[in-house]
Amino acid sequence: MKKALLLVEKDNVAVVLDDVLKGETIEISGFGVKCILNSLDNIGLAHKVAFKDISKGNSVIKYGEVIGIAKASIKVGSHVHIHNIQSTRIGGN
Amino acid sequence: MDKFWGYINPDGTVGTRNHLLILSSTIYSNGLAERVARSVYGAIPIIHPLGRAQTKSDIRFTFKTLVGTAKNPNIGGVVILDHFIEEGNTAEEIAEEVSKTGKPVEIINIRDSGGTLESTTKAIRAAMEIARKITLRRREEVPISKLLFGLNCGTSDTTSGLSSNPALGHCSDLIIAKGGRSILAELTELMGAEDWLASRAVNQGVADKIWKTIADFEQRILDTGEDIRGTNPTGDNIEGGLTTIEEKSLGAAKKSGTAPMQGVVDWAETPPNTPGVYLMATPGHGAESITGIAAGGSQLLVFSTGGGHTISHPIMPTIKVTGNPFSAGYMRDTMDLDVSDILEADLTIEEAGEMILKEVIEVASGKITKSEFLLEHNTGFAIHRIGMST
Repeated sequence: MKKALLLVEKDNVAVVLDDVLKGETIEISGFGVKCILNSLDNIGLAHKVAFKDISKGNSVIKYGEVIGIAKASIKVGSHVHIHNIQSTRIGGN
Repeated sequence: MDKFWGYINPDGTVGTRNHLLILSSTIYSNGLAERVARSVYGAIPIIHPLGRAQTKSDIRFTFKTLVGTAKNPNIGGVVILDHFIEEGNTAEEIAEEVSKTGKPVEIINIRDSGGTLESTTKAIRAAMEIARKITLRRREEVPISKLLFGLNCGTSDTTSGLSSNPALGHCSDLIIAKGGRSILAELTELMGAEDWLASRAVNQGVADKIWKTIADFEQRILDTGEDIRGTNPTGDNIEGGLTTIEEKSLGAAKKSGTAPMQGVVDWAETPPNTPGVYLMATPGHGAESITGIAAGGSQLLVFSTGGGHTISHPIMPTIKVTGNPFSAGYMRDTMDLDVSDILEADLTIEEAGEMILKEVIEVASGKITKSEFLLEHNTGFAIHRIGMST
């Protein structure tokens, strides 16, 4: 089982603390939250995994703040990275 | 943990050090500054490449920095060196401002002293007189509310935003809760975090000023014809797991904790006494940023560095903290504190913040940093420039 860190309670993404392969289980912990989910993708160390479903156009929240908008619908357990997040500040990523 | 041992200055500020400063006012007295500092007990030289042939606006910037550095509470006394006359930044003009603090100040002009060797003798004699005065001073116990400390990060990696930055933020919150102040700087690192910082502002005026200060700096960079926003996050940032500029900047801004944003100050400007976090207008360049912070009167700085950094300000103790276990290992003689157990074991952000606070109090009370022990006096002083040379 791989580990992931939830940085702030209201975040909808967590940070994985090891390289994770598709199908592996990830234990998410932080702020009294402890849950286990299945990874839908390969996710590199320190990259983000969706901790909640995020609809297209909704905010991606890390550090308790909006770090971007979902470019596509993101399911729990998915890799959240530049392919599915768009900056609200500058375009292009 | 609400007190430290410091030197109470005539103007009421408290030093975490009692340095004898040998201050070069221009590049052309650097040689003298280094020779004098090398020859005597316990002196710290400050040298730099500026002070001559600068535009008026830039010479004011240099002047403000040198004055602020010499007025810093950590300075017990100063010998200011000059090679001739540079109007707006002469040793006399610097000394006039610094002497308002009540600390001993002497001036040596190379030309007026009869050249290099005679000025060396005069400067060493002046340094000896000051040293024999200021070494009589003793530390006294003072409340931590007397602490103004700097927050900075550099050679950041993925661990910075996850561990050492939020832990430093918690330390800042603890100090501010006891009446202290901290300075957040590095405007380039805050583009994308304006909303969060402004939401912590004590009033709308401060919120507006946060937005404007960061936007103005961004515009200055754009005016050079370069758009750094497109290259931020960088390729290695993205490979490390970062996605947007907001994510990168929020990770950097986390070192300011959650306490109220009390105000915005200019480069080298001392914040008012009200507890809280102050934003200082400095670039992201690490040495320039901490030079502005020290010239604003900060008595100590905590530098968060995932990748491991050698930076250390000559007169403001610079505590280096890493959350990366590899950096803690291969930079073990340079890192003062290792909080990698946040990611490696069960250390919480709050516990790591308390570890940093303990180190802050110990270093403020006289424990030397690794860089101080190694006499690394020239890895953290750089004066920001706003114009070209003339």
